[in-house]
Amino acid sequence: MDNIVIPPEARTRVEQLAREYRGRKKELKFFDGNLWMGNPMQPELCLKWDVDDLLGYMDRYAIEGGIVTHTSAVKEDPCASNEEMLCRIKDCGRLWGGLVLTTDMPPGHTDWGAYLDGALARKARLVRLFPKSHGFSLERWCGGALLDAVNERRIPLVMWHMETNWSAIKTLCDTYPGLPVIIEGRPQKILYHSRFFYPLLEQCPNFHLELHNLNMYLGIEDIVARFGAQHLIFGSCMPFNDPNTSQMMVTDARIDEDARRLIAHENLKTLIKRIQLP
Amino acid sequence: MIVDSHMHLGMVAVQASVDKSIEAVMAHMDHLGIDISISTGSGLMFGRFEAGFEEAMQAYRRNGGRIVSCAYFNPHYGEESLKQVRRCLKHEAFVAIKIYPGVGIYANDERWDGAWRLASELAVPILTHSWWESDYNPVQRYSMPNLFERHIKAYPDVNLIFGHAGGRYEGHRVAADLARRYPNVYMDLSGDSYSFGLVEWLTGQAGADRVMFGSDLYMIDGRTVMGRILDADIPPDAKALILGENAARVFKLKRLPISWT
Repeated sequence: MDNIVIPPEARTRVEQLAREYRGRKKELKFFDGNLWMGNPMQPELCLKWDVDDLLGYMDRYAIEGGIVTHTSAVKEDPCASNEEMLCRIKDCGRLWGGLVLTTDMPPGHTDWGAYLDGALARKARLVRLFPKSHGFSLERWCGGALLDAVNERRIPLVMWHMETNWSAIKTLCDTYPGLPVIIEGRPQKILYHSRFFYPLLEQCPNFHLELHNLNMYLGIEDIVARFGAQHLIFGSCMPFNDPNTSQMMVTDARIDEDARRLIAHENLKTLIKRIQLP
Repeated sequence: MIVDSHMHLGMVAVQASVDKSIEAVMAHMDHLGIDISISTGSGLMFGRFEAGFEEAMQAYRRNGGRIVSCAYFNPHYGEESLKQVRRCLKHEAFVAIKIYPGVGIYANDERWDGAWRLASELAVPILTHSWWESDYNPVQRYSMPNLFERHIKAYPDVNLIFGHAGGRYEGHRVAADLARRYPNVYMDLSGDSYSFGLVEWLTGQAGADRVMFGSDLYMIDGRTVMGRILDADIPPDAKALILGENAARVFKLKRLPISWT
């Protein structure tokens, strides 16, 4: 048998698929919980990481708005980097801030509440913790004061799954049932962990998964069918990652349109609206 | 046309199961407009040869040839494994040899020679796993792209496809360099190599005729890869090559999808 002869209409079809996909992305008004500025934390293909670069990428990839974190807050000086990020987004209507916190009180402050209220007034809208990399525990004897203050304000709390463990996440969700907890798949994808997170989705209404590296085959469809769409938060991890990774999982998921909108932007916006602002 | 050049039928125990039946996979292919998929079944990879062989044949026969397969070579089983590969490649349902150095044998080890000799003899490509050193997955060190160069040089008539295009930043760089220097080297985009600008970068480094769409289904959702190609800043003809035309050429696919006949 001869090899395939590819008909010319095959190329036309690819162009049409690309056009349709870009159109679906625009319609969904993506709101991104996982944007970054600063410098790459390891060698990356993308070398331009300023806020202005990020805004250009957001235009290019049809992401309307989102929450940005400073990479230096993870690797270097959390407080100074948070401050730099809040200054950079001050006049930008499309970006809000993600704070990286440790259990150390920021310099010049004597209680977490005052610090968080100040940051919220300057557009901070989520908190990221790195217990493993930054060397602290989420248990009350170590992280209690910080977690109590974040919980009182209902600020969404984000962690990479490899910075903690699934039992600690369960304890956190149970201890603070009003605190939205969002887990991201970095650096390892969330693929081999569904026997951990399916019970969490079932048992913890405040447990959420972010999409940029939640890449299991038909995972979106399965999670939405079993637990509803309210647990899934759109995130791209741009410019580490190409946002199309998570965007097409949403645009082309076999779920209803209401669920698609929830995941693309409404779920995260709802969590933000529930924050107790000062 | 769209060809998923790297997927798997079957399942892996570490991952809880959604419906991974052949019918479910076909429905997913239809939903995404995938015309042909190239599978390496879990039965073949994990030592249940007869079951894996039968599954591959069923997948091919029940769907008008839209799912074809790779034979799988495991050098720990030497001649016995080569016999299985030969048996598979007698059927038009099989189009390539898959290797996975993560079984614990470095890709430049002579125990892989048999697969390369057989690929040369039968004029089929080799699809390999490729990655770079990983903090949390140490077996990835067996599959670093630079380790393949000895065989790439020795068998210029055998096309090698680096599955996952080297996996991570340094692996991408080495895989692209090899693709630039050797005409028999290709890269697929399967897996979780999601770096910003990767599609454009690989295409710029090695040419659009060296890059292929692949999903790594049954584990990974192919939409994570397809969207990056459809929306890439590359010409439409380059997208057509990456999405399917390269795979059709390199894997010497013989059948048109049923919808085109």
